[in-house]
Amino acid sequence: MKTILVVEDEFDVQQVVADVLKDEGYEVSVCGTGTEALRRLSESHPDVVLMDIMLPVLSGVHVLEVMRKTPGLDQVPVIIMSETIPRSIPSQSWQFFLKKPFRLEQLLDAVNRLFPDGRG
Amino acid sequence: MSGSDTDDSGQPSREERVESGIPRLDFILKGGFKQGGIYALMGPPGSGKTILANQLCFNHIDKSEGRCVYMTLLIESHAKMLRHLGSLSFFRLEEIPDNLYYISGYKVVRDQGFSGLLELIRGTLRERRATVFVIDGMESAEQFAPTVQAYGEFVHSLQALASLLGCTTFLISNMRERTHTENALVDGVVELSDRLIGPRAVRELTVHKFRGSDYLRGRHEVEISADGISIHPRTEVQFAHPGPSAREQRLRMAFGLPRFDEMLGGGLPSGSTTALVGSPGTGKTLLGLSFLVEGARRGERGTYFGFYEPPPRLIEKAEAVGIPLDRYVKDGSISLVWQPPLEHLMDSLAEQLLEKIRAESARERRRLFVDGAEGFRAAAVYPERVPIFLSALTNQLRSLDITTVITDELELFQSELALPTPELANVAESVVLLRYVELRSQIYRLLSVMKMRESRYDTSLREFHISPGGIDVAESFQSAESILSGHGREVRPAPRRRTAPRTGGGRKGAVKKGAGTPGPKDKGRARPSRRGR
Repeated sequence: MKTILVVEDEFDVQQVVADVLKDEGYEVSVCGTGTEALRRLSESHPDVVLMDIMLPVLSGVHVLEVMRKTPGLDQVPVIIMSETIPRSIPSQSWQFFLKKPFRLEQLLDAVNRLFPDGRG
Repeated sequence: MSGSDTDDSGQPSREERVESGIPRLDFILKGGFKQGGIYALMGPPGSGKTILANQLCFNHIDKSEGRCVYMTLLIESHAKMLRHLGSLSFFRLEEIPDNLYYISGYKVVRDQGFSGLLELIRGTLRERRATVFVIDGMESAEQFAPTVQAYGEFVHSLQALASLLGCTTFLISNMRERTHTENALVDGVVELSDRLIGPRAVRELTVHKFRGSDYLRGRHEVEISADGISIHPRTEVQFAHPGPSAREQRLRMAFGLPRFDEMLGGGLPSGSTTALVGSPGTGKTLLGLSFLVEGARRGERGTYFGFYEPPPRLIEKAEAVGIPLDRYVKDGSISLVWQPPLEHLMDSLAEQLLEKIRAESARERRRLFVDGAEGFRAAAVYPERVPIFLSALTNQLRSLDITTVITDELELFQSELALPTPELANVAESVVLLRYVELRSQIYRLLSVMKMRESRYDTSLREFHISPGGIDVAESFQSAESILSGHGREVRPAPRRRTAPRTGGGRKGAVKKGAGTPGPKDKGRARPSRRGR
């Protein structure tokens, strides 16, 4: 089963995104801060990271920078979800951008494009 | 930010202020919020709390190059909030996330309590190097407090953190008791309200507490427009201490109507206020426009501030009776400011008027014609404020050396003179009354000077005509006397009687009743009432 780490501080968004992805057959773990995201990523490598930019303590931009410099994490695809793309973030460091507020189809489309062979 | 003095140790020697940039809020706070202070902003849903806080953040970034963190608890999602804010002119998406950073703290406070939330706040503020911090939805945090004391300790810790980091902090919550724990601990309490007063929905701002500084107390009107929030401080509080009055050397400001100017001793004293009262159609607007045009002819700038006729109609009306208003509007000598007859805020109208005058005035003698007082009266949420409001406004105009004529409308049919804004007669130095007299199927217009403080004036009633040739005031009181005596013919020329010039007293004088349109019983008795000398 494909694993997805959802990094989102807004609990309602975190909850609904996780539930929808679980319904689709993915294994989902969640966290709400940049520091927690880095800790989780050091413990296990998900197949994809779905991440907000404005996170408490450490921003999504910072997490992304660390990921791209860390062997093993540098190739993990990232879907950014935010109200706007920060200027400081290189476009090659993420795979998809979901502009908040996004629709269910847009979310599933982005995730499914990363797994063309299915969820298994 | 304002105030950057430092002492020998490099520490600020006086408290720096963080300006909100919200129109006139910093004026109410006498300079803005104190840097590193913690403030409660409370109010019911829809009162504008979130708009105010976001507007403050964007202004802080723009003016002080500050960095803001906006934390939400259990309120609308960030995406929704930003979508709603996106239509307001202060909103700049490019500031997000670098300078304005939105985070949620709800899950942390729910799962880890206040210690977890404080840790999250401390880490985020330090990492973002924030200078302004907002927590929106404090009532959600309070719900997780095991005791009142625990919540108080949390606010107290926040205060210590804000002070240490020099990060000005705002705690936004729905309406609470003023004695609420949070309000006792913070440096200041600002309340936004949204109430129905009669048919009107009125938003107001009240500062209940502001440590270490004076501020403008009481309720101030709040307006939310496409530019966000603006505050309109109560005029009478704003100008509680008017500056030095007009120049000592007072001139006469004529109307350009020789006989009327003669009655006024050459014109209105400069820097004074004159109430021009009369029923609809008696000629108040035309007389006021004559006053402006005569000023323009003499090189004095003038402003029309009215509520009824839009500028094209006004120009047409004036030109139809030979008042060359169009020429002076085109050359910029006279500016026409028209407020469409919609729902206005009284203090906002005063601001518009004064800001317009200040923008144009270069300490020159100016003329102002306000048409009319009922426009302010209709905008008053609290009618009892009107007397003190008018007093403050006219005082301010005097201190700017503005010679003001302001109309007030009497009822069309009334046998006695009852001013709709009686206080206007008190705040004005001069009162001029225009009225109708009906006689044998004819309507005549009469004009009289009812009061003129500290000045000689002619007390006689004069008939006047409005025709394509202009406004023509009769040479003497005789035609008026013939009308009032009921003779529909020209009276035999009486022996030349000089009109008695009179000097008005310095006391406040109200116009007495009994000088309205005379009915049949009043024929021959209607005279301007004379106060004892």
